[in-house]
Amino acid sequence: MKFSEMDKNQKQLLILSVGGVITAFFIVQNLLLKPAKEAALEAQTTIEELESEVNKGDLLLKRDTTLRKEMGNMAAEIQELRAQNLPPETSRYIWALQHISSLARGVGIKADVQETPGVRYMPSNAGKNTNRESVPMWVPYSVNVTMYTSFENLKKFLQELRVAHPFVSVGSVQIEPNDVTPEIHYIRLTLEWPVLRFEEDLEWLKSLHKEAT
Amino acid sequence: MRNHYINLLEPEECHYLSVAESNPAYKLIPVLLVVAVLAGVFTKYQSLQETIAKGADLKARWTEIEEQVEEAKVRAERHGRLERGLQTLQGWTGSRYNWPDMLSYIAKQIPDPKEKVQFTRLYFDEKMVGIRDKSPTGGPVYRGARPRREVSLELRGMIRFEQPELFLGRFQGRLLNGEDAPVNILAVNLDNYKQLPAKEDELTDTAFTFTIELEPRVLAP
Repeated sequence: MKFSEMDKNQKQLLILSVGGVITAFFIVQNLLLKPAKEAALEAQTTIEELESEVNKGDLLLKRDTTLRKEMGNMAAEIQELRAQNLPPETSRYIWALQHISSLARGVGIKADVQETPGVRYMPSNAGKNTNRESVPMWVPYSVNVTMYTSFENLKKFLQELRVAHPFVSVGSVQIEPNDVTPEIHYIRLTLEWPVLRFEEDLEWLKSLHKEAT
Repeated sequence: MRNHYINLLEPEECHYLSVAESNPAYKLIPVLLVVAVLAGVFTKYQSLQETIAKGADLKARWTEIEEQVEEAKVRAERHGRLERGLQTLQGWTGSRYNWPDMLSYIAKQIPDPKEKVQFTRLYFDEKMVGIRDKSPTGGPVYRGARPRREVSLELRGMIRFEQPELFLGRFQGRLLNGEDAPVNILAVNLDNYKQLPAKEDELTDTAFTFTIELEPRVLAP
């Protein structure tokens, strides 16, 4: 049926219907779909930004309890090793002096022990905020030991030292002959123990240890 | 239905049949179309609502956990540092070179006649790469890299021998390939070889310097 063949009522009905449909469409489009689309677009951006963050975050939080426990255990282990074998936080020199002199006397050597001037590690960037997480926790505490003794006695001393101090490293050795007594050499050693680079780390380790226990 | 061929009716007598009158099922088509459109719109709207809800949920969850996550990230980084710290400490002892044995080894490798050689200096200064020295690339060495001990030992001496180069060659070979070396020796280089002036009737003294490069040791358990 053509439009021209319709009677007036039919035409009115058709126009009203089409108009109604178009109006309904615009109403639905503008009042319902458009705001929803905009909100969904915004939500989609949020999803893209946050979905992986949230997933990672959830995983991280799930691991966090285990991490805390592990950190407590590691701190406890470090504290134990520190207490048994490493120089104390204060009065390190006297500690090293006593231990080395005692060992040297044991093998018949008279040793002169001095703190190594300066530091034998890369210092943190002065004046800049050092990220503690980016530098090693341990740095060497060093003493220079000077002695006049034989090669055999030196080996004995080093062996005793190695056994008695599992954390001492021989940082440097210099052996030179002594013109007056050929069997007795001039020997200069640098002995090193690991110590905490940052004082704050000690408190941190203590708090972690405490948390774990 | 329109008769195109014979039309004997007066216009007012014409009666047109709509499609729907000929087949009432066709009436359903617009209704179905409207229903389909409505269903499509509803589905679309539902899908948009789901996206909105998901976005809102994620936002709410992130707001809820953000602070904890930031703390956990810091903790994870500190955990890494603590772990590396413990591993360094655990590796400190095991990575030490056994110097008493190393000194004995060097002495044992001197070829006969031993009395022909005198040592004037034995020296080394251990590099602690990652703690004391930068990496070979010169870049920041700390993060992720394990500290490593490296030692090049310098051995200076004098020899009075008819063919010093033979003696030193034997010594070099023995140092490099000797049995029971307490550490793997990577290289032994003769860095200095100098014959000193002597009287005509005396054997020439020869000064030499060996550099003995030991295998690096990583501070790890």
